[in-house]
Amino acid sequence: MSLFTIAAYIAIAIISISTILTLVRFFKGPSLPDRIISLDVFSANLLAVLAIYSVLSEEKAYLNVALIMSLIAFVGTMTFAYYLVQKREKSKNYDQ
Amino acid sequence: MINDLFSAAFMLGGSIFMLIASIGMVKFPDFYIRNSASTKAVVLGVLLILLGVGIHYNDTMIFIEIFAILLFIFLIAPLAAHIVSRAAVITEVGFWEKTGLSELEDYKKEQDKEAIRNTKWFATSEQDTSQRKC
Repeated sequence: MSLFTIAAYIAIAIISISTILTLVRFFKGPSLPDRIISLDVFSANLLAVLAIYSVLSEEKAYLNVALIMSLIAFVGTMTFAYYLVQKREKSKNYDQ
Repeated sequence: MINDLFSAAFMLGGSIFMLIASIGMVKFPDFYIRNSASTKAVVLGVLLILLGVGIHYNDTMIFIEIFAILLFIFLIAPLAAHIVSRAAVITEVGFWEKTGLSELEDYKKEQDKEAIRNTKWFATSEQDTSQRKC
């Protein structure tokens, strides 16, 4: 086990801790936008873990997975924000 | 050897920035402050980690792929942050009380005054028509 492998494992451990902290905000978050941005940070953490794991296992295909991962995370965030705005406008129409 | 050294340093630095972003997510008091902290630190962390991966592989095609991922993230991170904050303002997620931001309140008061003016005008016109009918 070289020094580089140990550094990669330490990086994965640090990112795992940050994922747990992100999930704390996801379960605690008082409003829906808090949960949306915590999901965003969660997917970025997953992307970083995938990149480091591709170094550890010498498999270049995991970088493609990371690219698709960031794309899907962006679409999810946009969809949730759009849903929030639409729900608000619908409730306003019901009030009138 | 020197490749591995730089790669390990970049990956460790990037993961520490991710950790800082998550600590900010937990500790900060307000949605808007949390949004700003998470967006900036996460973008820098992913940049550093992907640079470390590219330095380890030392391959042109891998660098092109990493450039694609980074371009995409640099495009979408401010966009997503702006749209989610806009949705939060529209759905009236509260500000922290120490922010001291009164522009939104003033704007809402102006809109309320406008609405009151409009409703008064409608009400008076309806009263006029009802009086004419009587």
